[in-house]
Order: sequence, then C-alpha cells, then structure tokens
Amino acid sequence: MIVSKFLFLFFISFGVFAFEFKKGEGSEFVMTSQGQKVNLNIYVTAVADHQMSVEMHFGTGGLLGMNMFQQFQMNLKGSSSVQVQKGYVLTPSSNAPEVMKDYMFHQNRGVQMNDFLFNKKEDIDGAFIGDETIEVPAGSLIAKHYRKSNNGQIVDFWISDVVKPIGLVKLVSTSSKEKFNNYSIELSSLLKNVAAKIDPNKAIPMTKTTEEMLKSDHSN
Amino acid sequence: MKNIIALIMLASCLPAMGKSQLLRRVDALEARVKALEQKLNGSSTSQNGLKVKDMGNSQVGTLRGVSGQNVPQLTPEQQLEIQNQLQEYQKRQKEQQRVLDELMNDSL
Repeated sequence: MIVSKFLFLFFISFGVFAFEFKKGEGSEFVMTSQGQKVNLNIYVTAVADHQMSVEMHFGTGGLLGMNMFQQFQMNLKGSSSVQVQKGYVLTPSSNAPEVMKDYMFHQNRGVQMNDFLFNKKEDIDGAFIGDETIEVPAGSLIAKHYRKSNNGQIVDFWISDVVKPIGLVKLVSTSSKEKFNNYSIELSSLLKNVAAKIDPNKAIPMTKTTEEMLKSDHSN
Repeated sequence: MKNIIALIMLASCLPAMGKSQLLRRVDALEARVKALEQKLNGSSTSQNGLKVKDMGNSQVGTLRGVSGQNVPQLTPEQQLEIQNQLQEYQKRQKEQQRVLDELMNDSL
C-alpha cells in the first residue's frame, strides 16, 4: 500500500515565487508508484496572519477504492524556514481526524518533508538544473527543473509559478535503497473552491491502530 | 449551352458545399459536447491552457477515482473485510513459504 507515503512527501514553495495563497485553491496530481495510480490533491484550507493550513487527499479507484486525508498547519512567521506545527490524518478506518505525532514529520530514510518547504530563494538555488518544457496531463508548460538528493533518494522536480499556489508540475523520485521511494507525480489539474475534509477542532489523539497502520506502510 | 454549363457547375459544387456545411456542424457539435463535458466535471481551461477544476465548495474524494472517473465503490465495512481477508491470505502464504523453506533446508 502506498497511501501513507505522502506523510513524507510534502511540497510547497512559499517565498521563492511570492505566491499568494487563497483558501480552496490547489492542485490535483496523478501519482504512480509500483504500477499503482493514485489521485493526489493538495489544497489550501486556511490562511491567517503568519499561518496557513494545507490539506492533502489520497484517493485510489477500483474495487478497493479508498480516500485518505492529511492536514498540516504551518508557521510562516519571520525569515526562518517554514515549519510544520501540527498535522492531522483521517484514515478510511477512522471516523474522526487524528492528531499526528511529531516523529511522523521525519522519516530519516531519504528526502525529508521539510526539504520541500522553501521559504527563501537561496533554499532552492543550489538545486536548479534549468528551464524545461514539460508535458503533463494538465497541459504543457515551461517549468524550472531542480534536483535534490539525500540518503540514496534522488528527487527531480519541476516548479512553475503558473501553477500556483502549490507550484509543483512534476516530480520523479528514485531510490536504490527504499522501494517505497520510487514514484512519480504529475499535475493533472488545477483546483479551486475545494472544501476542507478535516476539521482540526474535531481531532482526537492518534490511535494505536492508525499509528501501526502508518508504520507498516512505511516499511513496504 | 451556357445554362447547361452553369447547371453542371452548380451540380458539382452543391455536394462540396453540403459537405463543408456538414463538417462545420460536426465541429460545432463536438465543441458543444466538450463544453458540456467540462461543465459536468466542473472543469475548464486557464489562461495558460491548463485544466482547471472548480469544486464549488465541495470536498475532494467523493465517489471519484483516478482521473476523475466515477467508480462504483464498496462500503468502508466491505473494504475492511476484504482487506482483512487479503492480510490473512498473505499471512498464510508467508507461513506456507516458511514451511517450504524449512523442508528444503531439511532435505539438504
């Protein structure tokens, strides 16, 4: 199962392209991993002074179609890098969103979630490869190609301010060490007026069942 | 004679005119179908020619599969039941493999 991979894959470029974040706007992607195709939606659910919340949805089709949601609250205050403050997860087996544990933001098995939280131009300049024309299901566009690597995982990604606020056009991750780090993501559509699924006020502490489920997914 | 030539020319042009009219109608109908499809999916195209989906303040993931297809889905209880059965099957398979490995090692 590849659903919980997104615990570690969180991509958004803040100050680099000076995007304006609007509630309900985002992107829909098609993620391919080990021959499986999954719908991935990322969209802004709340914007306040120095704070923003982003929700991610993973949906698989077919007979065993399932939906899984995650929401992150981030601090945008000051010039320091963007940090995830709180995270929530809503799994198919749970009736209420659950508060994620801090250690889940760090996997120590490749590129980290915070590697994709770019606040300053310098954060990303070193990884720049070049401007390229990219063809994705959403259409064709010119995007900036970057490459990051850590602990055996190489991530090539393409960003464009045309697809704000998320900015991601395409991402290809390869790893010789971890099978679950081999996947690709392509933009299939821009989104607007998306309502949040997770209400943080209704969140409960994470159950052992959910924690075990997420752990076992990562070991795949 | 002139009238005959004019009639022949008219007769040869009419089918071509009819055909081009037909093609225009087909194009118009195709465009209409495309517009209706986009309206149905809540999708349109941005200024940059990229696909845009307007969710109309609804949540994502409701009866939508990969590529926005409507996929008949099982209830969460049915899904859980099938997943449990799959896990059980995988467990049994692992156990069988373990026994086979042991047997192979014993015979050597």
